[in-house]
Amino acid sequence: MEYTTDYRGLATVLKLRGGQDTSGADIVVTVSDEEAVKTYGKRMKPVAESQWTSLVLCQLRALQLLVNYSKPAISITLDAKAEVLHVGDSVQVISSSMEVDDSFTVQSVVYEYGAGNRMTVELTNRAVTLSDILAAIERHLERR
Amino acid sequence: MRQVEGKIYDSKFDDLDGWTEEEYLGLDWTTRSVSFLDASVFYSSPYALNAKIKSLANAESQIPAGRYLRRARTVTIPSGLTSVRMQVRHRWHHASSTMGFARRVRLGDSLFLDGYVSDEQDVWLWKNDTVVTSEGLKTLRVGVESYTTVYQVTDNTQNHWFDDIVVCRSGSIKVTNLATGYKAKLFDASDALIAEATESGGIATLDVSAKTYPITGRYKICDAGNNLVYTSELFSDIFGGDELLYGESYSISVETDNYIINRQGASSPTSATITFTLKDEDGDPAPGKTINFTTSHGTLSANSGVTGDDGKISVTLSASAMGVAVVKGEWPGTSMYPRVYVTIEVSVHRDADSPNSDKEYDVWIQGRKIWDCAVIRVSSNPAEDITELEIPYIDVAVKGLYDFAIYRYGTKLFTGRIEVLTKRIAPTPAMKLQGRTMIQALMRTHIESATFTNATLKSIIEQIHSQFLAPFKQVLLGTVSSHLENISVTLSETGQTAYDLLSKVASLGAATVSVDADRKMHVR
Repeated sequence: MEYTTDYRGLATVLKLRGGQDTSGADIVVTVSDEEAVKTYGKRMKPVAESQWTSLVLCQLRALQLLVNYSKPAISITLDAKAEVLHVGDSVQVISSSMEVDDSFTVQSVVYEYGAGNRMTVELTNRAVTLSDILAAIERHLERR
Repeated sequence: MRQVEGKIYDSKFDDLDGWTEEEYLGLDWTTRSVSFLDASVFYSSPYALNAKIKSLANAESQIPAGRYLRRARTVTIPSGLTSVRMQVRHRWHHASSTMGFARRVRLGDSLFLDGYVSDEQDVWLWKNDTVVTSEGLKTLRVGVESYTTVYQVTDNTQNHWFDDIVVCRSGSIKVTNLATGYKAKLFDASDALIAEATESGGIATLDVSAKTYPITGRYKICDAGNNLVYTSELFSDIFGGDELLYGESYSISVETDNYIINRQGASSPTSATITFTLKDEDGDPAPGKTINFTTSHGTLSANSGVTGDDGKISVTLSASAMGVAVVKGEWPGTSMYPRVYVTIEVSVHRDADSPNSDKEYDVWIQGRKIWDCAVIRVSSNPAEDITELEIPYIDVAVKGLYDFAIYRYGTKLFTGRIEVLTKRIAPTPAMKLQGRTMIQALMRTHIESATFTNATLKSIIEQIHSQFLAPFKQVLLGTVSSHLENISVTLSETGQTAYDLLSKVASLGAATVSVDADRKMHVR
C-alpha cells in the first residue's frame, strides 16, 4: 500500500473567470476556504471556464473547484483481492500505521489475470468526474 | 459603498404607524366613511390602505368640492433638494353610482396623484413622477378629496385603495469615483440588466426612473475594455437617488524579519517579528485600526493590536516545536468596507542544519537529520529544481511543506520544500519525498495585469517584488544585478505568474531568477 500526499495543486482562494453575462461583461468570482487558509495560508489559484454565463452558476462552480483544491490531494494505491469494485465507488480506508481513517473514491482498478489473479486499486480524495471515469475505462481497454 | 441613501420614505401600508386620519366630509357622511388597512384588496400582501366613502340615508344631501378623507404623516425632505420622485399604486371601485371623489396624494403643497373617476376601475394603476418640493418637514397626505358637489344616494359606496408608496431623492443612481471609460451596471437578482451607464467626469448616472422601488439587484463595474472589475453583493433596498462611491477596499500586507525560526540553532532566532500594514482605499496608511492575529502553530505575543500612524502593527511569533506556522492578520472591516486579511508562513526548525563534511550526502529536514537515504535524485532546469528522496523507513516526524536540504561533503546541494510525500508499508516500510526550491512561491503568485512604462529592468523587478510578492511575502528581495539598470523597456502583461513575468524581464537583460535557502530572490 502506498499513501501519497500531494501539496502541489493546493489552493485556498480560487478565482474563477467565467463567460460573459447578458451585458457582455466578463464574470469573475473569488471564493475562499477559511479553514484551509488558517492551515496552509492564502494560496490563490486562477481558473478560466467560459461556459459559466451567470453569476450564480459561476459561484457554484468556483466553490465546487475549491473543495477539490483546498486540501492536499491524497492517493492510495493498494493490492487487493479481486472483488467487484468500480471507478467512482466510495471506499473506507482504515490503517493505524498510516494514520488513515477516511473515505476515498476509486479512481482506477487494474486487474492482472494469469497465475494468481491480482487487482490494484487506486483511490483518491478528489471528486471523480465523468471524464475521469471514461479515461480510466479507456486506459483499462488499452491494457487488455 | 453607498454614500447617499436615495430613500426618503416608503410604506407598503402593512401598518399605519405615524399616520393620522384627517376627515372633513359632512353630516352623517362620516358615520360609515373610514380609512383603514384592507386585507381583501392589496397590491403587496397583506394590506392596502382603503379610503372608503359611504353615504347613508340620513347623510347631508350634498357636500361641496374640497371635502376629504385621508391619512397624513410628516416626512423630512433632505437639504438641497428641490424635487423628489414619488411612486404609489392605486385603484378604485364604486357601487352603485360614482361619486365625485378623486384619489389624491400630496406632498406639502404639491399634488402628486390626482386620480379621477374616469380611471379604469378594479385594476391597480401606478403613478410614478417627480414632485416639486423643498427641504424640511413636509406633510404627506394619501386619500380622497371631493372635486365637485357630491350628492347623497343611500348606501352609495366608493372604495379607494393605495399601496406601495415611495418618496425618494430622484429617478437615477450615481456611481462616483470611476476611472476613464468605466461603466456602472445594475443587474436584477436573476442577472438581467436593469440599467447601465458610462462615466462622465468620473460619475456614471444610471437611469432607473421607470423602475419600481425598492429595486433588488447588484452593481457591477466594468473597465474601459468592458472587463468586469467589481461585483457587489445583492441589495434589496436600492432606490432612485442612491449615490455610491466606487473604490478599492482597504488592503493589508505582511512582512517578517525571519521566515525560519531556529535556522541558526535552537537558540537563534527563536522568534519572528511579523508586521502587518493596513492601507485605506487610497493607498494611504490607516492608523487606529484593530488587527486580529491568529497562528496555526506556536504562540503570538498578542491576539490583536492597533495600527500606528504608519498603518503598521507588529506581533511576535514564538515556537519551539518543529512545524509550519501560518500567521494570519485580519482587519474585520466596517459596514462600508469589507474585511481584509493576509497570511504568512514561518517555518519552525528543530535546530540548525549541521552537515557532516565527511559524508558524500547528508539530508536534513526542518533542521532535523535524516539518518539513512536510499536514493537521492536531483534534477535541475532553468525553471525549477526538483529533488526526490527515498528513505528506507517511515519517519512520522516528516510532514508535507517542511524545508529540506541536501549537502554533499558539507556543501549545500539543494534546498526546497516537501511537496509530495509517499509512505509505503509493503513489501518494506519506506518513504518517498519530492520537493522544489522556493522558486515555486513565485510560480504560485498570480499577476492579473501589470504595466511598466519606460522603466529600467531593475526597477521593474523591484516593483514586481514590492507589489506582487511582498504582500504575500514568501521571498525577500536579494541581489538584482546592477547592469539591469542600464536597460529601459515598456511592458504590459496580463494573466501571468510572478515567476513568468520576472523571468521575462530578467531574460531581457540576459539574467536569471533564483531563490536561495534564506528565501532571498536574486536576479543576476
